[in-house]
Amino acid sequence: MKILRPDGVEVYLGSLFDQVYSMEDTDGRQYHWSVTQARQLAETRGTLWTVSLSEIGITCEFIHAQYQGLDEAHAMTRDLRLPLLFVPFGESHQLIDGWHRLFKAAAMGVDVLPAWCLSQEDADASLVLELAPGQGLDWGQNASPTERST
Amino acid sequence: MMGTSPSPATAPRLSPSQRSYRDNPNGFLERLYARAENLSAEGYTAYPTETPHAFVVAQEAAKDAPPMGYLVFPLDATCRCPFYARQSQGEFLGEDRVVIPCKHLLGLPLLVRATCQRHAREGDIHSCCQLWQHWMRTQSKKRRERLELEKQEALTQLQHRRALRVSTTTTATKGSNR
Repeated sequence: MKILRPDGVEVYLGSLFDQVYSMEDTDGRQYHWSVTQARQLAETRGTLWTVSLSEIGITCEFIHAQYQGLDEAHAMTRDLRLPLLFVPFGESHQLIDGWHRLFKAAAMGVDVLPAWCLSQEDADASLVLELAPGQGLDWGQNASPTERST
Repeated sequence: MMGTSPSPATAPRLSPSQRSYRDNPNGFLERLYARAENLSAEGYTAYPTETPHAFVVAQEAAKDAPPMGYLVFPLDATCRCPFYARQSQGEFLGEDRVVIPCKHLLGLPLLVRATCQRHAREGDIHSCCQLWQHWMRTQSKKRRERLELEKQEALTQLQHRRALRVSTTTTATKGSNR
């Protein structure tokens, strides 16, 4: 929920519909970004780029390995015109919104997709939590496929 | 006696909130949003409860005083605070009889985030994770409900389109039989 104050400052109150992207890196450190806030920031002052799947080696197998439990049927209903959303992450970038679109593109042979990339400042503003290894949440990310399916 | 406006003796007594809202609804809402935004700065904390998708929003009380908190149910968009309770009992702020959400409901998403970040800063990771998990479960329930609705709508539209196609085909067949 966005409110415009009388002084012209836009205030973000958040909402129950907000989307959060949670990620655990290989060291076990967890990151939780507010995708909704990140998207709002990107739409306000982000730079729109394009991403070539072939140039960065994206395949359906790679996406499945990165995003466990990806719903392929849901992916095929996504609109590829909506830009992906990346945040700076270490020496590289992390996709925080658009995994299903990325999968659809890879499955359909679409090579180029639009993408937002946030500045470090906006990425930090959208980062809700960063939790040290061993202190984070368990959302089944470390479960074996059998455990996850049960 | 002519005239339709009630005399001061018979006019309904308005609560301070009702008076304030009716005098200047935009000003009232601006103040409400500002309070919602500043819950954390005003010493409020969000707590998870044992009831799924229910939270307590409480302000740090004076020393030795019992904490003053209200149960907030974000999925139903209701709260047990007096501001909300009065409206749910029919004491609406405006004549339009619209329920205005309280600062606890409006400010809950930001307060949960601020509380989690505070817990993490203070090293209370257990409380941080407990609250964040509680909130994520609530959010995902709401999002699942919305996705389900979207799926239903898409299915209805598809069925509608199919029905239209069938009806067009039927008409064409009739035409060719004449």
